[in-house]
Amino acid sequence: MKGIVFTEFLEMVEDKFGLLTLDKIVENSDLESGGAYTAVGTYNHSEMVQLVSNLSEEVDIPIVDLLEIYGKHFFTILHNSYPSFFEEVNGAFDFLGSIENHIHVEVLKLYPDAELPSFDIKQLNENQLEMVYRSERKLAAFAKGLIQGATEYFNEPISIKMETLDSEGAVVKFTLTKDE
Amino acid sequence: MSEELEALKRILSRERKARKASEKILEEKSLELYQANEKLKSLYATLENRYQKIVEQANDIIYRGDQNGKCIFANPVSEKILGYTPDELKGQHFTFLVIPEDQEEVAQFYKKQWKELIETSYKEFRVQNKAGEIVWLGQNVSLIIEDKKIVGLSGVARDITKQKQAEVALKRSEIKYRRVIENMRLGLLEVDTKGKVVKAYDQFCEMVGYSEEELLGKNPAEIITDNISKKLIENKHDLREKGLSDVYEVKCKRKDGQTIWLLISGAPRFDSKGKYVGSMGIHMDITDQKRLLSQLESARNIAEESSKAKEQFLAHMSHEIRTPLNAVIGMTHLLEDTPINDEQHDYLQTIKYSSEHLLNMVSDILDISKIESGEIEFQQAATDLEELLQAQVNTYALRAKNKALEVKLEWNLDEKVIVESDVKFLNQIFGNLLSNAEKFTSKGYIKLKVDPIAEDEQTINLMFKVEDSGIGMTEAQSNHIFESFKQADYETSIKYGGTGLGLSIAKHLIEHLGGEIHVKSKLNHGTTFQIELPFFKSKNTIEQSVKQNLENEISLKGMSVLIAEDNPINQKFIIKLFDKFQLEYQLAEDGLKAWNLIKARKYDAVILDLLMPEMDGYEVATLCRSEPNPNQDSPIIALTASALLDDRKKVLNSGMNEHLTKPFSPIQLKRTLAKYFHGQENASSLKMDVNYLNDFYQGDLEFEKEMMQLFLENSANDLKTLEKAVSNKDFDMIYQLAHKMKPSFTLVGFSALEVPIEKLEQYAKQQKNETFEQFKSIHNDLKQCFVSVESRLNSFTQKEKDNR
Repeated sequence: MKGIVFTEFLEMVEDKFGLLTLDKIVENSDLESGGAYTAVGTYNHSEMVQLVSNLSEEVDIPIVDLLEIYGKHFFTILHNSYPSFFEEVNGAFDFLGSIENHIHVEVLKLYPDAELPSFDIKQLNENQLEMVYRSERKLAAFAKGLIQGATEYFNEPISIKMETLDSEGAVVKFTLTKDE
Repeated sequence: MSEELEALKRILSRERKARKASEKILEEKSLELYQANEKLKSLYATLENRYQKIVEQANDIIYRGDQNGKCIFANPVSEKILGYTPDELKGQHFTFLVIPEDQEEVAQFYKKQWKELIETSYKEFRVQNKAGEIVWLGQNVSLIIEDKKIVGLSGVARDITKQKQAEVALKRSEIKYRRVIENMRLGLLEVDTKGKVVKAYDQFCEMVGYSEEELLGKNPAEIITDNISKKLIENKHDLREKGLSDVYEVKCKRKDGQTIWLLISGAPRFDSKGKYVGSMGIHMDITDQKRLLSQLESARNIAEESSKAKEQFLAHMSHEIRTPLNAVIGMTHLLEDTPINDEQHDYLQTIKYSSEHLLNMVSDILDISKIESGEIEFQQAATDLEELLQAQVNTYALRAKNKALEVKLEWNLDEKVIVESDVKFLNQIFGNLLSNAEKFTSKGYIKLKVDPIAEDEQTINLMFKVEDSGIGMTEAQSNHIFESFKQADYETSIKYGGTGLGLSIAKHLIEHLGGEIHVKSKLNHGTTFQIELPFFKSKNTIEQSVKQNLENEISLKGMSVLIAEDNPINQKFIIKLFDKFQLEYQLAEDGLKAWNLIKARKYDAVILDLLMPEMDGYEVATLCRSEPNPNQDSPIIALTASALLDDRKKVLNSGMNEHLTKPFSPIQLKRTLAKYFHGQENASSLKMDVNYLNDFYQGDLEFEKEMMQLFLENSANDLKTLEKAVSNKDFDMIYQLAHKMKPSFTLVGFSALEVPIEKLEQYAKQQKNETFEQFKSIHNDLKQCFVSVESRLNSFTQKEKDNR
């Protein structure tokens, strides 16, 4: 998992819950990296799982909610760091549709070792988009947060329906419907 | 607070650690980048080097131009193509060599490319090289565009002079041949795979009267032909698809309704990849030729008809001439057999000679007309050449015995030569040549020489020379002697006679047999005819017939013959001959009578004249063969005055066995009859005792006749009743009849029958079974007796007629 996901996560924890909480969840985890993350590095995703579950315990917020919140936050990070991804994009559906074929392609150029989830995108009609998430990391909640971040950024009220298509949560279908 | 400080320290330590890790990653990344860069640099150098080589070794001019189109680089081949070195080209505008005629067009072309920022273009134009020669270039120009501005160009120009020359030559030759074809008044038409017109050339349009616009996209067959021709043309599409060409004629209708005939030479068309794309037709208007052809055909029909008319006229004439001639010759023969004095004998010889000569002339004329109309029919048979020629030579030797003239055969072959050939024609050829030699040679010799030329297993070629020591000819005369009706000159024909047809006939026949004849002659120094003839050797051996002594040896005595002949003189001639041959004959004066007689009893032979009143010979023969009668299987001999071969076929078709042309010699008649008379085993050998009759009646023919008639009237019926009684085994009746008939046989010259009849009478009286055997043994004798009596009565009747 890319270092930026860790650095931004820890920054958010520090922001929202303070230095002590940050230190506590790192200290309580058994981390190969020792909790020293750099955006350009790559780390085992199990470290993230430990950090999130420790945080959940510490602040008593469900993991799923935490991931969703982080996803939303991470979108703003992405937007600030990589404005080029938002050029020539018209609206949320357009942006979400470009993840697989544009953003992921660019990510792989910089980080050839990145392990990215896949999205099967299907525009059902003018107001509906179907996205099928597939990842062994099973971080659909994080993905949901990102999607919410995008809809908020484009200021498009969209309701998101989430269906888990397998038993483990590795395949999840999001159905996005624009609110009238 | 210290708790928070501790946490901060830990966080700081983690941040430092992270910074160091990131610095390490960055160092590694930059090293990686450096190495990748170095690799790229060397790869670029290699590529540059490679491209440099390609550019330098290319056959096409490759150059770079700046934003103004001025050359900044050109490869070395430009010197080879244009005569200018790359250095000389530098700084020149890339179009500076374009010849004046092309300049405007080229300038416009590139102006457009520059203005519209078209990335690449291709243009062909002419330039003038340093030596002043025109070079065709095909040029690709790619613009180098940066920020919507032209910063330079790269060009590739190829020398296409040879292709252009070939193109021009092709175009010229196409124009040339199209003009040639158009000038030859041949109409060209191109159609696609569905037969629709894709191009119609002027000459074709003129031919059919439609404009190209009217024909384009249409099926020409539907426009200019009827249904039959349309089918024909449509069938041709299948041929073309298979890649086949052919030539055919079609009747067409012009736009103005006029009918024309077109000769079409059609061939498939293929594109450059060899795919079938339709066909091309070359049309020639053959209407005039067709018209001429039909005129010629009708002219030929007329000619053929008139030739047939001539032939019929000749056949008819010959019949008309031959019939009386037959009588003259026949009577002459008969007259010779009567007591005449020497003077009369001389007259008779003249008559005989003249009439035979006349007959020969008629035959010759008929022959030549048949030959000229190509109607001669060869009848191949195994022929002993030496024997045939010897017989000919003998005939002429006999004729020449009064002259101091030797006629001989010089046979220079070791072996006997039996060939398949037509005896009649060979005889005619050598007879004519020998006769000709004999005619013009008063003393010395006539030699028929035969030498081999070539021989293999199946064939033999022979050289015949007919050489004489006669009056000879001038060269001018010998040039014409083979022409019909041409003798050496007019005087000759007066002095020597003849029709002038003999040599012409001989030449024609020789040529028909596949040979050649030439003449060598010198005036007063004799003449030599050289004949070369090819023969097939015969596989059969010649039947050794008894023909030579036939005339003397063969006896026709007792042969029963029915003769049907309407001409009284011919009747007389034939009957005389029959008497001489001792035949039992019956005479019928017309066809109907002949048919009635045929139905009445069996004859050994039936002779029918073909032209008779009531019913002609063909009809009688046909009836005889088709209707049940005693002579259904008897031989029938046709007598005809016409020598046309057609008659012979007709004769055989009507069921007759033989064909005898009038006039015939007694020997010919006897030979013919002899073929069908083998002496009957069952026939009676009993003969009328004429001496007894002469003694008995003492010349009182009237009385004899009366007795004979009485005999026929009574006994003929008795015989019939007797036959019936025998089959009914009625002994009583047999006895009575035998008893009644017994005395009458002596009165008609058959006293020899009295004893066996008496025996029959005795057996019957005693009702013995021997009766039937006895009857069987004398049955034929009894019948013979009646035939003989009838025959004698007939001869009386004929005599009476003659006396009147």
